[in-house]
Amino acid sequence: MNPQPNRYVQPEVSEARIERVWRNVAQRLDERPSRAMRWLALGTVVSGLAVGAFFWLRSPPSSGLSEHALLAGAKLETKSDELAVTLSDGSSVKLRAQSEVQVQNSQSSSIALQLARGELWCDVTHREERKFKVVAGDVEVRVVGTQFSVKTTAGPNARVEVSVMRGVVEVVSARRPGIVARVGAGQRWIQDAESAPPAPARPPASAVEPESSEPAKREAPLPSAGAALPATSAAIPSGRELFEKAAESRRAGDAAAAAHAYEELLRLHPSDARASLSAFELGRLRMDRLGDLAGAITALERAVATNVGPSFREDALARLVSVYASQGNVAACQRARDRYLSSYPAGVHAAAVATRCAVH
Amino acid sequence: MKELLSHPPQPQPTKSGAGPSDAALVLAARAGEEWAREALFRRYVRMALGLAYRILPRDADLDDLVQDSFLAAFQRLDRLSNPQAFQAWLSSIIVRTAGKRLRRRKLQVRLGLLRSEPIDVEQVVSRSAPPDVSVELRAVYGLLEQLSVDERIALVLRRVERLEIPEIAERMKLSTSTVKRRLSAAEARLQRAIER
Repeated sequence: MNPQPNRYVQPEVSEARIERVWRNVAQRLDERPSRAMRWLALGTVVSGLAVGAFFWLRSPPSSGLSEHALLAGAKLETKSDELAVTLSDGSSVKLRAQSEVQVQNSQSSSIALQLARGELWCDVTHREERKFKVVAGDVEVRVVGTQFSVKTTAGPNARVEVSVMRGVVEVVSARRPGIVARVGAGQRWIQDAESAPPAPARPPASAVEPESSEPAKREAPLPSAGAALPATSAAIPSGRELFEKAAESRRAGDAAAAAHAYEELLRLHPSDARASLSAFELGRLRMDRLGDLAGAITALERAVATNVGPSFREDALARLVSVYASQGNVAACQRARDRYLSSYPAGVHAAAVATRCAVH
Repeated sequence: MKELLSHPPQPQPTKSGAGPSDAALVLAARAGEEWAREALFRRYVRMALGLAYRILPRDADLDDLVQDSFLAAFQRLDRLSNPQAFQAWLSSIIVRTAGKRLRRRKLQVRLGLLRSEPIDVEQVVSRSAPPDVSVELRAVYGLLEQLSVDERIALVLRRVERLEIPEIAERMKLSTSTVKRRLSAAEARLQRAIER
């Protein structure tokens, strides 16, 4: 019998790709306004040129320069909604609400966007043959292959802010001719009305050079995106990092490392939102993969005690019955069985649980 | 469920054997637990990318399509009557999202905003495919661009995913008789392509 044909038609799926997709899904889930708000957002105005640019950005790179040239100068403008576009190489650009961007250059070898107001978020795939830059006022952000945003505020307190979530960008400002600041992941570059005059010396090529003269702004932590970023200064890994580390270790088949990460999460962040699930997963790993029945009981009991959630609690209680039975601890098994059956008389494990704890 | 307790490494409610059941995750996700959504995503993202790729193999927006599908799934979780059926439900969303994109793309081609390009069969079908499977897959992917959107999706689900007609109907939200008609038209052309 032949295997499933779909096995032979598979995309290349890297962990980095999965992470990128998840980040975007999570971000959109966080940002998604309610249905009612979305109806209100119908007031959004995106010019016809923006729609043209949308098609342009989605066209394959071989579409021809004449088509590109037609769209140079196109203006994208948002009011209460956002506009997201994806380039043919997988790069994506999102124009936040109340923002305006103009396509300065749209050649296949060079893309330049002028941010007139608001905020532009970019996730750009590195391509040697193409230059990608965003200009905001007298600041130019050259993309090396990264995820970043540029935000500009007009008026007397005019300000340009560049936040980098992944990779590196180069920032040059007309106020400091000849100086290139490299801004890396987790770092932010700010230029405001009070920015200092040009520094006399050029910094090392790899140094981050925030333009702001205020020391507090140097490498300021990113706002909401910060939680999803690797910690740049924290000595203790966050609950999220440990949870992700455990997931990575599991994917790599390293149960011991995964268990260790869960243990660390429970030790360092006992009140983290992921703690209960971590306890459950730790119990499962100890039980199924590590042969540590006593350790599994401790973890599963903790999961049950910390309100892991109705569905997980049911699984955890069923597993406790199983692990006590495996240990030959009839009294504990019977208690766990009764606990399960009293809570879930029609549960998915009820039939199996009811037959356990027999005295041999 | 008896097997769950007698063979702990292969718990029944967990298809992958790698964690809580889909039903448990769906219920937690419905309750607003972000980690549960993330767990569902990580469990099915490869399936989602694979299915989307097989329907739209040269689409540069594949990730976008998968993102949209997961987003739609998470936002409509309360409409999923059987939480354990998350995978099939997500597949259905992917299929319909892909269908919308295909229709939009066809329109763009018609308006001259996009060029119609053939699928690079050599790139799409793995060289490790057995000869008979390879012949069939090459014929399918060589034909796809000539089919209507419904015919194309039905053919991929039948010939590549090996789904039964009721499953295809469920994924495409069409009646079984409509699916049969679409498949019949596509299969006739496929047969001619294979015999050529």
